[in-house]
Amino acid sequence: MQIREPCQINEFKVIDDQENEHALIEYRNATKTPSLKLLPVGRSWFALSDGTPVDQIGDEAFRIESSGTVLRKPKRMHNDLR
Amino acid sequence: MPKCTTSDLSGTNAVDLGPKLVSADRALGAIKAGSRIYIGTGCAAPRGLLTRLEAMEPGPADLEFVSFLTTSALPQAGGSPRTRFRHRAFFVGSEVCGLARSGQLDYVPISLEEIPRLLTSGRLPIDVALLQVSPPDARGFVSLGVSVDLAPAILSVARTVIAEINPAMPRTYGESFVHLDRFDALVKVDVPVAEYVHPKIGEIAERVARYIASIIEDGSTLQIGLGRVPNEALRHLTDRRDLGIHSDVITDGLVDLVEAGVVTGRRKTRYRDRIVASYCLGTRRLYDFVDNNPGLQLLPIDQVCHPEEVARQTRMVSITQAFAIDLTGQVCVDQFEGAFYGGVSTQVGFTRGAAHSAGGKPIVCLSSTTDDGASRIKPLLEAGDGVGIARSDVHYVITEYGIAYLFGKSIRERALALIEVAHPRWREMLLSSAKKLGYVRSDQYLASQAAYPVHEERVVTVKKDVKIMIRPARAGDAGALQALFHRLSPDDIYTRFFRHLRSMTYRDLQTLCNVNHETEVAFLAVTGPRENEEIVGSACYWLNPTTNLAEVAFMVSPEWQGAGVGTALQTRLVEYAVSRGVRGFVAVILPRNTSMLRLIARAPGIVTTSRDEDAVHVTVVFPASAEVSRPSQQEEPQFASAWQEPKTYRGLPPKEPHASPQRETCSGLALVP
Repeated sequence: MQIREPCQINEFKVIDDQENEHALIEYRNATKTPSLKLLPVGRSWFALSDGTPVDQIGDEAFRIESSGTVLRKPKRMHNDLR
Repeated sequence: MPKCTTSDLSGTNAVDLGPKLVSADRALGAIKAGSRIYIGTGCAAPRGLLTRLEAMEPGPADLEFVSFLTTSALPQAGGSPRTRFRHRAFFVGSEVCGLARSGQLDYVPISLEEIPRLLTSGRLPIDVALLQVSPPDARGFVSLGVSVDLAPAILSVARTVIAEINPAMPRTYGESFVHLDRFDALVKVDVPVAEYVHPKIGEIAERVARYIASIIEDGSTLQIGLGRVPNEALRHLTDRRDLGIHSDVITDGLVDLVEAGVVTGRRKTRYRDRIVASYCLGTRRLYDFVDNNPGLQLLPIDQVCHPEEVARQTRMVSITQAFAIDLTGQVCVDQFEGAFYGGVSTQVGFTRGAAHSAGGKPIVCLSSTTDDGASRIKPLLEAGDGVGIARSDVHYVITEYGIAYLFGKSIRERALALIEVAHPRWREMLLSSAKKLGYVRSDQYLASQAAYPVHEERVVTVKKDVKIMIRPARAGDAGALQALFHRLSPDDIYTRFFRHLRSMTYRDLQTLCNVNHETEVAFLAVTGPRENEEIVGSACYWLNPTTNLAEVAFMVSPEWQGAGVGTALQTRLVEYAVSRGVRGFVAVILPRNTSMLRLIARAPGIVTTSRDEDAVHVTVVFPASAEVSRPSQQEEPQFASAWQEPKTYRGLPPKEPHASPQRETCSGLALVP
């Protein structure tokens, strides 16, 4: 039986209003195939690299839940690996 | 005493031997009690003189014989040598190993090229030398015949020199000639020169020999040594070109290669067009070949076997047969399970020399088990196992289960590589011991207990006529596979693993290479010589036994994408799967990975696809009577000929000059139109 578990599937940089960079990590529930591929199921959720929860509020926009700080992907730095 | 000339011996070029020609008794009568007597090597031992000396009553007491190697030299009684004197030997051959056990023989562990220095320094004084030589020529020079080796050094220090003159002894070239002036007494004999025939080897040793031959390239210069396996390897070299010989010893196997035009010496960098050796050990056929043959130079052992001299040859291959090896690479060559047998001989010199030769290959070979089934690859050498070649000097280790390359490798890598060429019956024990010794990680496993399937190796030609090898993966490939991973672009990694990955865990690497070759299969595309392979592609499948479909996945190094590596890997994977009754392949592919989609669409059979939010799911069901064509470019398996890596393309990967932008941007999986 394949085990579905939360997996880090992506990591990218985002910036806040003060142009400070943050590392944002995307998680999804996924199953690992024998070939080591992660097959995701359901929606993604996000957190900063220190574990602070982040909401997705648009295609390229995010908000830190605890502070309300808005984060966005920097233009010309479309480094989402997908 | 009647006057005798050499015309009585050879019929030509009469030279007056004068009063030096005496009977054996008279010659030996000059030997004083307590003398140290050197005996000519191997088939050049003066057997008549030795027999007479042993039989003299009363003979001189407390003699000590010094020899490098004797074979049929001593009088026999009941199948064993009968001698009443002590012996000091630099090599414990089958003739004298019983004497070593009984304490009548003292073994001197020493590299042969060091012996002349030992002699000339006076540390081992020689009172008398007993040799067997050819008749003299018209100018009074005899030839040392089939054994030059230590004789020049001996002749420079021995107080008395006595020789048998035998017309059956070949006249050899090189530093073989000695003037009659140097001899104190000469004894006429007319007997066949002793012959040595290598015992026949079994099927296991032949497999080892075939592996050895498989890594000997055209233009190599060989040192063969005395071992049966290295000599068997000669028989598998008949399709090579321009081999050279620079060896301590030559044997009958050489004659076939010379007559077949394989040994020419044309590409030697020293003694071009010449066979160089120090002594011969074989049958009359070999002796006839070396007789009056200017293409052969027999030189003193220190000139032939010094590592610096050996290293001057390019592509020098030395082959050493060992008794045992431990998991760190220490090689046992002269003492095994407490008994001394063989010797250090020239192995250290040739191993080091070949290692320093441009393109050289020092090889250690051994069967994986002893006759009674014990593993010759041991976790640790045991008390009574002597180390003859240090672990730091070892490069290639070959058994009937394959080739391990150790030089520059860590203890973990060495242990894994050696376990993989050990007998399958002993691999679990070796792995368990290696874990206890801390040589390998505690989570290391071996998915396959079977032999590495060398017969599944293929050399294939991809685009631009570039040859690569596609071979089954091994547990020890983890490091090179990690290097491939780190050459991939972030997008390659994402399309391969469906996630961002900065590194691969050891466990994941093992998943991709440590497979059982049945339900888990992994092939690698590699370039470069075996000792320095680079993995340029990886293809794996994992079989779902319920559906009999296997999930496939590929990786190809960015520089090789578009070169046909993915196609070649898939073709090989399909061929392998079909041969095992696998029904088909499944693959999960990101929709934008069009190259991979195109690749799998070309697999033979019925292709169906479905798509969900994230991926395309492809199923390929092979035709019922799957006649999967072997790749047209496929060449002979590894055994059939040497894998001769075309070095010209190493580092110049054949990337397509007009690769499509699509391929440039989404090439995580292997692909090629």
